[in-house]
Amino acid sequence: MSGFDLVARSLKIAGKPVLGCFPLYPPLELFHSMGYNPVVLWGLKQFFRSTPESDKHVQNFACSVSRHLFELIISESGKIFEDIFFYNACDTLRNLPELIAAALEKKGRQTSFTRMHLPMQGIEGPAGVEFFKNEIARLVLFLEKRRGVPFSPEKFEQSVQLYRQLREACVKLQELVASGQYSFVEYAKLMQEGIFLPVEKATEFVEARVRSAQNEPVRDCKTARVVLSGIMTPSPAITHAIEEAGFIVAGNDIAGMQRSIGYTPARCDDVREYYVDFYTNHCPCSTLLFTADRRIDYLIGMVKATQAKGVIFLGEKFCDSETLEFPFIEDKLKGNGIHVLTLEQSVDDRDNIAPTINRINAFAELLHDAVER
Amino acid sequence: MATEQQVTTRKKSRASKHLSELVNQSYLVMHDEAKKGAFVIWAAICVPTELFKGFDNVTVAIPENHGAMSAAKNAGVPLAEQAEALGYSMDICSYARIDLGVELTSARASPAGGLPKPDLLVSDTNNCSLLVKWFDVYHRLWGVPHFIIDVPYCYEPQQEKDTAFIVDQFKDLILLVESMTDQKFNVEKVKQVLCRTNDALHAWKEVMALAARRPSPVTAFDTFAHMAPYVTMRGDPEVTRHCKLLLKEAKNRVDSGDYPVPDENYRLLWDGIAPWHQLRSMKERLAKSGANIVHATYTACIGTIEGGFEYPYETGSDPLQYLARIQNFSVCPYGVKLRFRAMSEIIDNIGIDGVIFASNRSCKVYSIMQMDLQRMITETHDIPAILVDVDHADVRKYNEENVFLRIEALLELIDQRRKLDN
Repeated sequence: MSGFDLVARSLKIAGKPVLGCFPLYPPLELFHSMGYNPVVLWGLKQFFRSTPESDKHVQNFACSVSRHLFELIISESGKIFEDIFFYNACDTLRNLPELIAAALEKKGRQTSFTRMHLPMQGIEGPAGVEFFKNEIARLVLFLEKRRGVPFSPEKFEQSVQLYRQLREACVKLQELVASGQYSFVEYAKLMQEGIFLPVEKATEFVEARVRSAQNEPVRDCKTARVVLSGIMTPSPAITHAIEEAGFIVAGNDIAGMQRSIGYTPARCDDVREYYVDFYTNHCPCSTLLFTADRRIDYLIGMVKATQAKGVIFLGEKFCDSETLEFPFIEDKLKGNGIHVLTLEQSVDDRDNIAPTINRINAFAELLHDAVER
Repeated sequence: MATEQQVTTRKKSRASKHLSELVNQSYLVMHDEAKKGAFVIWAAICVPTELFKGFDNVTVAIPENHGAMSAAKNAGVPLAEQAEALGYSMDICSYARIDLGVELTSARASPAGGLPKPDLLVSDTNNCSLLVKWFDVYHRLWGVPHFIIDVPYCYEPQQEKDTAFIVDQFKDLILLVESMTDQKFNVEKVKQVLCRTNDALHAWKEVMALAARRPSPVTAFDTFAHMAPYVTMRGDPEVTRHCKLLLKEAKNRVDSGDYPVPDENYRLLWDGIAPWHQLRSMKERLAKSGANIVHATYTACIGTIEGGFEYPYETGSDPLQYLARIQNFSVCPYGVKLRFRAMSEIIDNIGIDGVIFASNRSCKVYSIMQMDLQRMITETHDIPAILVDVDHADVRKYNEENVFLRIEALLELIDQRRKLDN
């Protein structure tokens, strides 16, 4: 029995079949339009103190994202997922589906897995566009067969509008965090919980928070404004430490947060074109290999636009995509006069959190002194 | 079991001398050609470098090979430490750390004097996407264009749509090289090169097949080292000559009875990248116990697709189509079922008593699935298998005693099964 059961219960109440989506950026609107309640299997650390089932299949040098995802799907709580979707987000995640399917089979469970391949050399290139459109078309065909209903452009447009509304509300709430009108701790919590809610419900929650936060006064920053970057939404212990150190999170480059909500294409009359646009112009992410060139300018631009003084990088242990990218980014940021703190989160970061908190506090002192000067 | 006296360090064979000359020469030529103005391409190991033979005055460097060579020459750790000092985590691939250590600090520390600076970087996703990130470091630092070949991962044999996608990317790559070198691509040259590669592969596969003999005239340690020319110089007539020389030597060993492990009592299969820093010591220590790692998935995959399917180049056929299909020759671009199939074929054809899975935190893509593979192999083939922690190029992450403790346990398990069978 995992802590996920409460989530599963609320998903069941929503009444739609639940599609478990491997991180990071699945085509949620499409799944929603086909009658699923799609859930990105992300931020599952909160539900598991350990990963005994996953550890039977995956070495401990796999990242926490993959270990927790494995643990959840093969647990009893994982029965909530009628189908599973994955794409080539990273090497580890591409290796897992067969292992999970085999583990489920041993338990006498049958779950259908479907996938697409996202061209990593750049969708906008001539080779990529047609291939990717074909991938989306194949996915649509699969979903039609699986759900027994035809794809509806109208329903797709409605789903796009719903996700657009949610993303815009999240962006607005992040802006209120940046102005000190809303707590980053609460924002991170909401973003994390929102993942497991149906989009309609999540939008209601976020919009309600936006409405109440707008009435709060703009707060001065006690220490310094910072940008957060990294793959995983930080744990509550870290978000508390950041806020208690007096930081205002002025900008957000966390994959499970801003990178997931930062862009929705304007046109949605053609599902294939929509996703070409969606991934091509997606917020840069180390896992979207073709966006790598944009990432540094994007990050520096975010720091400047938000008047941040520093960047806190929350590295996820064993995430090669982020780990290999960051030393160069760090150099570039420092070259632009931006202070950087690099932290590392891992599967056991709920334990032994004190050294991390010390480093956050030390960074706060450093930035405070820098601002004073 | 062989006694200490029986296990002697073998004299360097002609093929081994040829290998050293070939590798040294290839680095010298590479530096020389670059100095004379050749267009320098840095390519990942699985990038079809045969394509570049369709151009004149292009020289190709393989950073992964540079990392492996540095590790084999015991230069890996100090170079990796230089990269770590720049902020690159110890958790990332040790090839990458070694190469970054050289290129970002000092080429003098490299046994090959580093690599000549590239005009173009070509990586691919079929070995791992870490490679793309690794090449991106240079792309950003030096402003050199970086072309990524994206190979869809295969849970079943490569589909036609995926082959077509890869062919389209090759065409884009050719256009890019044409525009950067101001040359026209000559497909006929590539066809010739592929025919030569065919000859080399034919000899290579014969060498590998000889491992089925008892005792085996070859060890995986030999093939780890001797795969280098194929990896770095595909299509060069010298590679064919080298593979034929290797084959001749292996056959001579059979004729003369001069086997690497004369009292071969345990025939093992290695799954993982070669432990470059341990080649000699591991081979010798195993031989003392009458054990020989006769085959390795790392080297057996060469000349196949998805580990087990034959796919030779047919003279005159479309080289792009062929090269796209063989993007799945190495172990990493395909899933557990195909890998299990490939390993099963080796176990059955070569006669394997036990399997060593080299779990390597520095190479997640090769390693994550080994725990399931271990179970599948032991259940299906009724042979024991162990999982040991090995880093291919960073000796700091290798504990010889721990590894041998498990290997000894593996040999005991093999003995136990034999007793039960009798």
